[in-house]
Amino acid sequence: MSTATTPGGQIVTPDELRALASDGTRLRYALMELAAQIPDAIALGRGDPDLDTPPHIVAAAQAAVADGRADLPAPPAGLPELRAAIAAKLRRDNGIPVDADGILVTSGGQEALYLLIQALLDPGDEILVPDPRYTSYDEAIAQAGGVMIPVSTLPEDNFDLRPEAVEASLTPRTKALLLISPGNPTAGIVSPDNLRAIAVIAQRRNLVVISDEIYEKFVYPPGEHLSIASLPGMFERTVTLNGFSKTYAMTGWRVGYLAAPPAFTRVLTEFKRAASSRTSAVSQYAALAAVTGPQECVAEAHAIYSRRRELMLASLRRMGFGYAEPLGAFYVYANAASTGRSAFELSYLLLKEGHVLIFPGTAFGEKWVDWLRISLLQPEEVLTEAIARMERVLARHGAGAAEAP
Amino acid sequence: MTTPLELAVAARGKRWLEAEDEPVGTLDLAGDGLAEATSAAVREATVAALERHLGDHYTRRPGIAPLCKAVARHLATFGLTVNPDNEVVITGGPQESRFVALRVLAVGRTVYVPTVAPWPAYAAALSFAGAAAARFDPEGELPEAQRAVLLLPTPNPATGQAYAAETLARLAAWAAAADLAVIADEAAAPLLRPDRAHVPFASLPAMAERTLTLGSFASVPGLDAWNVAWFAGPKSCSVPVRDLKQAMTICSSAASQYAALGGWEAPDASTRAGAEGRIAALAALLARLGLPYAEPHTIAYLVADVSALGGGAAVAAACLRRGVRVADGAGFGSPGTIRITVIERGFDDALVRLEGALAELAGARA
Repeated sequence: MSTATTPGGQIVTPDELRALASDGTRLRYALMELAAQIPDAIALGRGDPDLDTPPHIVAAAQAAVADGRADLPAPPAGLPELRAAIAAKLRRDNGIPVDADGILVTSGGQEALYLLIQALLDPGDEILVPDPRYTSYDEAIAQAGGVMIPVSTLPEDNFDLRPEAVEASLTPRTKALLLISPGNPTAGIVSPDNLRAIAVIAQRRNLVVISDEIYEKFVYPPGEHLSIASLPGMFERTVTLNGFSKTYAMTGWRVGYLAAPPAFTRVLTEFKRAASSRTSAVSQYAALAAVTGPQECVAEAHAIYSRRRELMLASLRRMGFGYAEPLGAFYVYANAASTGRSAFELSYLLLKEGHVLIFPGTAFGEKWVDWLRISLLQPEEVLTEAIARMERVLARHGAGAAEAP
Repeated sequence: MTTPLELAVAARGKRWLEAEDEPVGTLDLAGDGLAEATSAAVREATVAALERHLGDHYTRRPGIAPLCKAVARHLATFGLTVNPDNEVVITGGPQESRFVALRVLAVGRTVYVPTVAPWPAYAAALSFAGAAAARFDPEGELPEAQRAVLLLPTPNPATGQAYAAETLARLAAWAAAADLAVIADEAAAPLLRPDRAHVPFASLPAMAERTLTLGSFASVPGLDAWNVAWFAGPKSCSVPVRDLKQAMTICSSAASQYAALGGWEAPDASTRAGAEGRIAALAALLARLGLPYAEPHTIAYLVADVSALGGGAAVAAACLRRGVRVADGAGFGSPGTIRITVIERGFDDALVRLEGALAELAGARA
C-alpha cells in the first residue's frame, strides 16, 4: 500500500499506523489526520454528531454573551443554577437521588472521568473495564498508576456485560468497575437484569462503580437504559458521568458533569480547581438551556439516528458483514472477517481508496482484529455514498463478501 | 462498610479541601484576573461565530487553526518561530496549561521554583507528577542541578514583578549549562505596564529548544470567564503535553476559542487605563496607612508588606471578615505580605472594606 502524509508533515505508512495499534487513541487520531488530507473523505470515525446544536441552545449562549453573564467566572463546581438543573434531571429521568451539591460540572465528560480516576485510584489498584473499550480512558487510568483489567463482552450477547465475567475478574486489588452503557464502541447495553446482578456484586465486594451514561438518550428497542446509581444502596458507591456533547450535539461546547455523594464531589471540585479552575461560563449557559429547555430536539435526533442505523445495518448485511445488534448510541460494531482482510487493513483501504474513514476495532482493544466501529454521524445521503464506496472497495479487495448472504 | 469513595474523601480531602468559609457577597481581590467586562469586540465575534454554528463541534485538537496561527504570529514579534500546526496548543485556561505541562514534563524530576511564586497554582500538579519541588532565589546563588525542570513565572504573579534582564540572562545560562527543561509561566505577561517590556524566556539564547511557554489572552479584556489560554514550544515537549490535554478534555471550548480570536483580531482601544487608576488608588490607600509596597510592574497586582499588622495570614483573615478576600503571601512563600488584585467590578466597594480591615488591625496594634 502507498503512504500518506499528515498535516504535521509526517509520513504515515501502513506499518507506522500498525505500530500505533497498541495505542487506540493515537491510532484514531492518526487516521483522522490522514482523512483530513483527503478533500472528499467521508468521516464515519469520530463520535461527533453532524447535527447542529439546537437553535434555542445557541440563542441562550448568545444572550449570555450579549448581556454580560458569560463574562463572570463560574465557581469551580459549576453555575449553581446548572448544578441544580442537572440534579433535577437526574432525579426525574434517572431516579438518582442526588442534589445540586453532588454535581460537578466539568469541561466535557472526559475531564470528569480523568479527575475522578486520579482521586480514586492508588497505584496498583485494579479497575475493571468492559472490553472492547473506549481507549481514551486508558491514559487517565495509567496516570493514576491504576491497573486496567479488561472484562470480555461477547458479540453473541450484543456486548452486554455478564455478571459472571465481572465476578471472574475480581481480585483483592479490585477497587472499581467502569461501565459505559450504552457503550462505545459496541453500542451494546448492559441489560437491567445484569445491572442489578452487578450491583449486588459491587456491594458485596465493596467496589466503586463509575457509570458513563453519555449515550443514555439514544437507545433502540428492545434496549432499555437503567442508571445503576438508582438501585438501592448504589448511589453511595457510584459516580455517574454524563454530559451534553452527544445528547444535544454539543461536542464543541465542552460541558460534562458527574454526580456522586457530595463529600466526594467536594474533593473533586478542589481537584478541578487545581487542574483547570472551572468550566467556561458561556458553555455552561448553553448547557443550562439544553437541560431546562424543550427536549423535542433529542427525540428528533433519536429518529434520525434510528433511520441511519437501519440503513447501515441493511447495507452491512448486503456486504456480508456480521454485527452485534446495536441497542444504543450511534455506532455499529461490525465484523469484517468475511472480507478476508484484517479490519486494520480494511480500514486503511477504505480510507485510501474509498475515502471513507472507519476506525478498526484495534483502536478499541488489542484483540478486536476483525471488527470495525462505524459511526452514523453523517446525513443519510452521505451515508449512502459512503456505503457505495465501501462496496466498491470490497469488490476490488474483498474475499467473497459479495457472495455472502 | 466504608466505601472506597468515602476512603478517597478521607485520604484526599485533607490535602485538597479548603476549609475556610467566607461571607456571602465577598469581593475577591485574590484572583489572577481583573474580572473585567468582556470587550465589545469579543462579544460580537463570539455571537457571530455561534450564529454560524462554529461553536457546535470538536475543534482540531491543538485548537482552531486561525488562533494557533495568531499565537505563532505573536511569538514571532519576539523573534520566536513556532509551527502553528504542532507547536502551539490552545488550552482551557492558564491553570489547565500549568497542570498538563507539569504533569507531563515534571514527572519524577526535581522542579526548581522561585522562592516566591504562585505556589497554589502548581502544587497539585507537582504532587501528581511525583516531582520534588526545590525553592531557589533567582537573584541569589543558583543551585547545582541535573535533569531537572526550571519552572519560572515571568512576570511573577506572586510579586507582580518582572525579573530584570540580567537575572533572566543568568537563569538562561544556568538552564543551558545544567540542561534543564524550562516551563516559562508567562500568563501574566500581557498585564505588564506599558513601560515594562516583556522578554519571553524562550527568546533568550539556547532557550527556544528547551522551553515550553505558557501564555494567555489576558491582553483581551474580560476573558477570565472564558477559560482559554495557550502553550507553545518545541514539538518534543508540546506534543506530549498536548496529548495529556487531549486525554483530559479532548479540545478547548470552541466558543471560547473564537472569543479569544475576536479579541486579538480587534483589540479593544479602551483597555487598561482603568486598571492603572485602580492601582493608583490602592497605592494611595497603602501610603495613607503607612504600609510599604513594591512598585508594581503589572496593572493587575500590588504586593504590600503587612508584617507590621501581623503578617499575611492575619490580614487576610481580617479582610475576609469584612467581606473582601486578599491573597495571603504565605501561600506564595512570602508570609509577611498580601497580594491584592485590582479587579474591575466591585473595586470601589472592595477598597472601602480593605481600608476598614487594615485600619482596624492598625488601630488594634496601636
